[in-house]
Amino acid sequence: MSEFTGRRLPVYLLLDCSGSMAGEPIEAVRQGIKALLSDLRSDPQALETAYLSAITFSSGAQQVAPLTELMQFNEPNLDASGSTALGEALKLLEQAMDREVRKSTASQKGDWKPLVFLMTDGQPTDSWELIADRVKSRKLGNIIACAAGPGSDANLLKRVTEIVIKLDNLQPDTMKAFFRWVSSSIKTTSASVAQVAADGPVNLPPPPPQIQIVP
Amino acid sequence: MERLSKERVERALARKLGVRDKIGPDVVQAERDFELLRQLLRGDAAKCEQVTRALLQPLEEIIGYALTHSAKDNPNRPRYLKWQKLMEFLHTQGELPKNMINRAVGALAAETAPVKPPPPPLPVAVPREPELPREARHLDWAKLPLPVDIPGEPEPVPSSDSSTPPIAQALPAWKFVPVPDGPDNHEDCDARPFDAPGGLKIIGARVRGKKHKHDGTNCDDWFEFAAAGPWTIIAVSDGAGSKKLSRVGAKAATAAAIRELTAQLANHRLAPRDSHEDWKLPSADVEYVRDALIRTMTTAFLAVKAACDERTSDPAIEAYLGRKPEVNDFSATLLLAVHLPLGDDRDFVMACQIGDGMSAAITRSGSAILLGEADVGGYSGETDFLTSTPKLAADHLGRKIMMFVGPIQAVMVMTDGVADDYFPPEAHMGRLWGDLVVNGIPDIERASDSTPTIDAPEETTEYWDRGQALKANLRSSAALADKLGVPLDALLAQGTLLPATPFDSSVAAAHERLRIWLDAYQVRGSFDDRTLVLLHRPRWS
Repeated sequence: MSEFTGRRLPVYLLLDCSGSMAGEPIEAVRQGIKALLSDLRSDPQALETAYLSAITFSSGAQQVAPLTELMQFNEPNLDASGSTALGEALKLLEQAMDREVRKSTASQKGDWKPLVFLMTDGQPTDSWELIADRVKSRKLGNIIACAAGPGSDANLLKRVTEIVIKLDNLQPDTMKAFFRWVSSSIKTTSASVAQVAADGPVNLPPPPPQIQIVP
Repeated sequence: MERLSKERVERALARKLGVRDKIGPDVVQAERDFELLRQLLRGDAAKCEQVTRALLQPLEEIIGYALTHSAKDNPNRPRYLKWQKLMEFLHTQGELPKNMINRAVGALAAETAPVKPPPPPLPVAVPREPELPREARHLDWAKLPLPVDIPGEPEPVPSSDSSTPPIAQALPAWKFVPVPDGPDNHEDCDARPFDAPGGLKIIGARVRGKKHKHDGTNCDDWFEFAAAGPWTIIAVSDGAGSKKLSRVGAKAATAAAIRELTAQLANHRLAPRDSHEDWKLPSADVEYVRDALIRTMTTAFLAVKAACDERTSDPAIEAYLGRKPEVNDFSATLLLAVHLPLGDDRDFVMACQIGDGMSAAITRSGSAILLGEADVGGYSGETDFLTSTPKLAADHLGRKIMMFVGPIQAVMVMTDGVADDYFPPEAHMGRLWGDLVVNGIPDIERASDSTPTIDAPEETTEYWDRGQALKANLRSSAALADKLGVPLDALLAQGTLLPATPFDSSVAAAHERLRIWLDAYQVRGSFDDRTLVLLHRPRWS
């Protein structure tokens, strides 16, 4: 099949794989991604439009999956170790989005405004402030930052985006609820009928009780 | 100089070819005519034009022949055989006859092409006639897939049929969920015909998008049209998908626009002009129409606001939204087009829009003139709405008014649900027109009874029509051009030769065919409401 040239919904998952995620939390993320994929794949509209990419970060950052059609997307291998190079991850995100996301031009229908889900359970360990400011001011997409567990700092993530949510813990049930919410956010957004006024806020579904929106 | 009739040109050329069956008794005359023809083509441009005109009909017949399967019984066959030899002959005769052919084909394409409209007088922006693509002007008919040897043999199925496998087959299917009871629900779809002034026809339809059907939400599009004296007025609107009452805004905006424009235009006339040049001048009668369009946008906005005000204390609305409504809940785009027949089959069209969607005129030669430019952000799905009040400012709107003067075959006004599937419009509005024609959607009388029929490639699609899962066999103009091996533009330039039997012969009404087609055609990632209003001449000229 030839490359799909219509409007895609790019979705970037930025996943913290630092040492503190080892064990149950990283397993919960794996399960969460599995559930996310199977849920999205049961939705005809997400299937036609959603494209996924995963960027993991610990002591460094790497794009473990480039922006890929939902059906072709393979679950990334996640291993938890090392520190929390949020700055590296954001830099990589910026580069990937500049390269992969199609903007509207006179001859091309641009992608839908990308969705970025950033999940971290700790404090950044590299220098991340400048790149965070840049990512925020460039309005690359609708970035949803998730501060997961007691070790994370939700207010700090406000430097990356206005939309910050907090998970109280990294228990499997909480992670499951989070990924289910990610899935319904993608489904809500992956249709042209989710048309918004330019610069208008993205319409996200109300989060489940495990998730608090940080004002 | 002597006057050349088409018959004399034919006879002269036939004589040269040694095709004797059609040669009249006067062979000498034919020889003389051929020499005359040569001379004319060397020098006199006007005469050259005359000769090419004489060649138009046979060329049409040849192309018509090429477009048909049932070539054996085709009434054009004898002519075709003769002209095929002529073509071969001319191609061996060097540049001069080739130019002649090209001119003839070019004339065929451009015969009714309007003069280039003038650059903007004042803020009235005038779209320019796009250059006819080279292929259209110089259709290489030597390369047309003429079934020379074995007329009647079926042509191979084009490979394009298999290039885009439908994604959702065997995967999760799109569902049909009726809209649950609620305030201001709209019917799933609508389709209406209308006899417009000047002998033109309108068909308009809107359908609930796949996404809205899947989710059990309303169709947010609306359309209206009306006649006001000699004027035709079209209004189309797309309610913002992100706003729960946008459909109410869309309906209020279109209704108000029709009322306002009817009042403004019913008694307005445009002064006759001697030439197209005269349209370049700023003139009060044209500016009046422009101002009426600008005023109408404000009127429509006020109507949307009134629709909101009417509902502020409605408990059903409050329950529906979970709060009192605000005018932004009614956000909708608005596309306006007005048409006036100028006589001699010439037309005046002016259009204006806020937000996305597209309006386009189709000339007699099948080329599309864009009458709009969508307001879009950098990402898809971002647009402006009538409720973004700065967009109503006269100086902003003035720049967005598009005018076209010339002979048209059709005017199309559509929401982004259709426009996005034919993007970019510069390249694809012509294809949209082609798809409407090859699917036999508008009723357009053939130029002659001998027009050939054709088996256009068909593709079966599945769609929901108000709760019923149905199938349709649709054709595509691009696939047809592919099959014939001609550029799409060249094919569209031969409008009268395009096949136009309805894609579904059981649907007698053109507006119903339009509605079904809007529901049935499939484009990956396209699931918005679709609305299209088509104003057209009921016969090919």
